Amino acid sequence: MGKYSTTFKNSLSVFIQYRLNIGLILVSHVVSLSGLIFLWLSVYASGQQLQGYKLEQILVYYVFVALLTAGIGDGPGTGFDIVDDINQGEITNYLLKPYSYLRYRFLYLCGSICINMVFVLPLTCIGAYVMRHAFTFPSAMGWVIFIITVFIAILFEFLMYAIASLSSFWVTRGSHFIYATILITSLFDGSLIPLDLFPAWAYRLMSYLPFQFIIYTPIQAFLGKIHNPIPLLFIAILWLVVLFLILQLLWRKGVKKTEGVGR
Amino acid sequence: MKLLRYTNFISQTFKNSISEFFAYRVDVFMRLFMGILWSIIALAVIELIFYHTPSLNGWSQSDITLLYITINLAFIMQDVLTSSIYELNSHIVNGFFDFIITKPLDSQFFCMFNKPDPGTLIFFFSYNIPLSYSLFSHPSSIHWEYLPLYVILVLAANILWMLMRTVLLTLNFWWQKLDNINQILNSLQDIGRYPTSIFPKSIQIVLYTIFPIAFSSVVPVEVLRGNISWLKIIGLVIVLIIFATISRLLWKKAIKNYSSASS
Repeated sequence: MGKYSTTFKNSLSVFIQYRLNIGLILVSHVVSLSGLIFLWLSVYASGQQLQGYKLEQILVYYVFVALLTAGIGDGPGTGFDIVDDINQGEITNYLLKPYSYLRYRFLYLCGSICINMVFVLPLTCIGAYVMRHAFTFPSAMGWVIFIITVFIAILFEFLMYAIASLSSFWVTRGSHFIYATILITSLFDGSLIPLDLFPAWAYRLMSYLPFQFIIYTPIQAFLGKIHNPIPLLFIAILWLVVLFLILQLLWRKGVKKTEGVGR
Repeated sequence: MKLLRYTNFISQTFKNSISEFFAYRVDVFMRLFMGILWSIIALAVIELIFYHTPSLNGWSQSDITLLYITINLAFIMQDVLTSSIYELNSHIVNGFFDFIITKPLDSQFFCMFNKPDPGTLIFFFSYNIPLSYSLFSHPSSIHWEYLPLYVILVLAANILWMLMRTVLLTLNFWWQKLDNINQILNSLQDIGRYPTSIFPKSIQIVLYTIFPIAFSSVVPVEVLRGNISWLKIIGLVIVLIIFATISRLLWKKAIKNYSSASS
């Protein structure tokens, strides 16, 4: 276990070292989402209203999208790192050691999330204070559900991008699969538009897919819109098990196929 | 003689890139798939926005679709020609830049044009064809007589993005490991998909001056909608001159400041 805690500490050191880089990713998330915020402001200014959302609620929603994306959204980075390790043959260094590569990558992601949180939490507190009239803070139970959903979101973030990145065992440019995952996830995780603003049939369909757990579900938990979390948690755990099994299967098949010539 | 050297360089790098492009045939299909996926998500977002509002600050659904197409066109050519500038950071960190400055070519020119990416042209079709189909299936008020001016403005927008990207990436000479600086450009591209009129005046000024992305999306689209503003077109020319000057001066200063790190 000691070797993995060292991995975690190392990743903290690396991310602390490159603070400006983290600052840039935060700025880019804020810039991207500001477009959507002003878009809906403009819609509300023209007298239209979104079903089930007051203007303040939609603003709170997007602020939380920005904070969550900046805080836990490092899955694509992990995916690209795995793609590089496979393409450049670095993976063989890990295979020769008594060390789980996937566990290492997960802890590395956790390290980056911890550092991101150092930047994001003060912004969250400021945002929550500024918009304190637009929403009510969750109850004690609400906080528990929120923390569980955030933890589940981190697991999904890792599993989805790790699965996409393992395509590099079979194709030369596995990064395309990461981009495809980014695109699909951005539509179905609620980061572009809240899922309940989709037509009813699409919303029903998406409530059975795993993408909602990355952004939409944690925000709904924070906003107190999840009244019965049990069915949702059941779907989440089911998907986590399925994705974990797919990851393990792909990893085993990929490692069997790998040739570490010259290492 | 000098001109001949540069043209030979360009033609040789294009030949190499085209050979590489055909060597990775799976890549062609992946890009095709990515472009189509991208366009489907763009169409879904546009549909969802207009599912809730009939118009966006006077912009119809077809106008917004045209905005999406235009910002994509404004990116494609510069991505084809100067995608190698993305590698500047790794060139500096790995010491490959030492090798570049010893070449009998301008180092900025080399970094920008040493590895064109003709495969990006696939996006021209795979992304724009579905969007164009949607554009023409909705009532639109396109003034086709202004198409030549639109094309000129889109080409100018490509040069503007190229210069903005070079200016931002040149900062890698001072701050290493600024991987996420590309994310800033992607976020600006996101912002370019919305009409500038939805933003407050202060942000609109920024979008026409410091980060002049409005010139690469809204201004060409307004021309095609029949709202020609010569003031904005002159503004584009001025911004191009300013960014070309900044890009060159910054690069020269960076080279003076550069000291070999490894090799």
